[in-house]
Amino acid sequence: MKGFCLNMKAEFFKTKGTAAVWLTILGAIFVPGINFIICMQRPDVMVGKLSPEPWLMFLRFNWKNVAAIILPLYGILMTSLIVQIEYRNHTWKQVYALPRTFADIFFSKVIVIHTFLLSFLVLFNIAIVASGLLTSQINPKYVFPWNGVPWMMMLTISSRVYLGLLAVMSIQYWLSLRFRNFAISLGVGMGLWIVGIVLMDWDKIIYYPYMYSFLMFFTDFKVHPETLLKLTISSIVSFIIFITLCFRDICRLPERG
Amino acid sequence: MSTIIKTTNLDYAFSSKEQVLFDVNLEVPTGSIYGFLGPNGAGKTTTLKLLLGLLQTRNSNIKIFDKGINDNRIAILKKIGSLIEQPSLYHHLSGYENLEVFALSYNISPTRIKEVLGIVGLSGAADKKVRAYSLGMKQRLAIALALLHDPELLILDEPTNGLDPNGIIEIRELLKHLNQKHHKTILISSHLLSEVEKIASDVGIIHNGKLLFQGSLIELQHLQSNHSFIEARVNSAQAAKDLLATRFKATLVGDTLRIAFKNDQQIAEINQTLALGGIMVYQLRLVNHDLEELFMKTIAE
Repeated sequence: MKGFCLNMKAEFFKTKGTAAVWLTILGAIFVPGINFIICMQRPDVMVGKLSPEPWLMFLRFNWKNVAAIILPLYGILMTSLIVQIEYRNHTWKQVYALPRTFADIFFSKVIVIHTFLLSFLVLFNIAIVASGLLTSQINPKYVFPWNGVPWMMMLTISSRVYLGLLAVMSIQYWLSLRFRNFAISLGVGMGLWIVGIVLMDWDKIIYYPYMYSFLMFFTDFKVHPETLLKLTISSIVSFIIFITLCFRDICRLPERG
Repeated sequence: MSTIIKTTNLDYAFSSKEQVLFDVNLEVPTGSIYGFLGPNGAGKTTTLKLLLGLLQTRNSNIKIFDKGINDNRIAILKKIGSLIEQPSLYHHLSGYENLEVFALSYNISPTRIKEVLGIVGLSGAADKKVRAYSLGMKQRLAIALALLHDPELLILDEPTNGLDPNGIIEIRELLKHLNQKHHKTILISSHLLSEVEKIASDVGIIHNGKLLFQGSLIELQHLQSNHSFIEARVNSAQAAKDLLATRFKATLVGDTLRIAFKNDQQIAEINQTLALGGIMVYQLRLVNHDLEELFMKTIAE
């Protein structure tokens, strides 16, 4: 276990100063930053839009673009970037020549990828709160009280969307490990996401992993409570299936590095 | 002498139609510098990748430290330092940080990082980003990485590739030092016989996936001397051939004479015989054999 922790630390070290770090920071603050500017520029429209429940409305206002577009694309890009660190530097062979088990190599990267995703969610939520508080500080017409921050709601939405991204991240991880060319994993990932958008009205869309994060946010679970259970089970089951298949496939590759 | 690496009838095929190794019986003596020679595409890198478990093989004909690589991968890799093909380094990190990444996996103290940087002469450039390193510096850092956990065995795939003459000499001296002072067994692949013969104690020669020669450097030198020639441009090639016929094997190639010799003394003798026999010698030229030519001849014989 100590060895695995040290290897994980080494995996985090490799991301130092890479685009993955900047993508996480900039991706997380992008939408709250834009919405802050909109609120500042158009109080005539936004003050009315955000009342009577400003935090709740502001939260939805930020989340809708992130759950539908930013997070799936971030997940696809982030996974490729982390794996590309090894391909770009021709270091896979050196990694596989280390006295590390294949499971150690495989899962330490999975943890790095998910840590980045969780960091994105944490930063994004912080940015929403900061953006709301700053808005009300600059323009008193907006009312975003500190004690009114819907922490529980933020945690619930974030957890659901994260759950919805699990399967996509494992498919993307598989693609990124399988194809040296960055464009393939990225292109296939974006293609599958666009297909999901096109098939949105399909009654079986609930079984299409690339739309889980979208459905996790946009489905009204008060009206369709059974969908939440279905989506949660689908997300977890497909994550387990894809990550297991990916691990078996990578272990059986005739050539490593 | 005990062997640190032993392969028995090692075969490998990338596909059913593309077999690249045929019955390779490699034996690397403990404490040696083993030069693994062969032209490009001969199967050197494939063999080294198999030794490191980077290529999967069903037959467990590879023994390193007397253990099979398939069943003892982790235990074996703990005692091996390697450099395969080009240096594997993170270009966005500094030299020190690169070693730090691998030191974490080996659970090694930072003191050792400084030590290996000193051994390869990169202490002054430790904080520089690797992307700003010259090829020679990258090669040296890759060797530092291979040395990081103080392994008993170093497997280096063409470590002097792309280096200028100074860089080649530096790496050569470093490897000699590691072998003699730190008692490392070194398996080094190269396509240059001239390069390997300066440091190796033992040599294996591979061509088209077949190990054609394996033995000490002295045995190789003997083999090579049997295939060394000088070309003589003279006023009468036929007369010169007749004159040398009793002592040397000479053949006419166009209007030049190709004469086999075994040592420098014989070259002097050839020259003297021709001069004393009244033959005008315009040019004596040493015909260098590259590995492929030498071994194609060996196979033909």
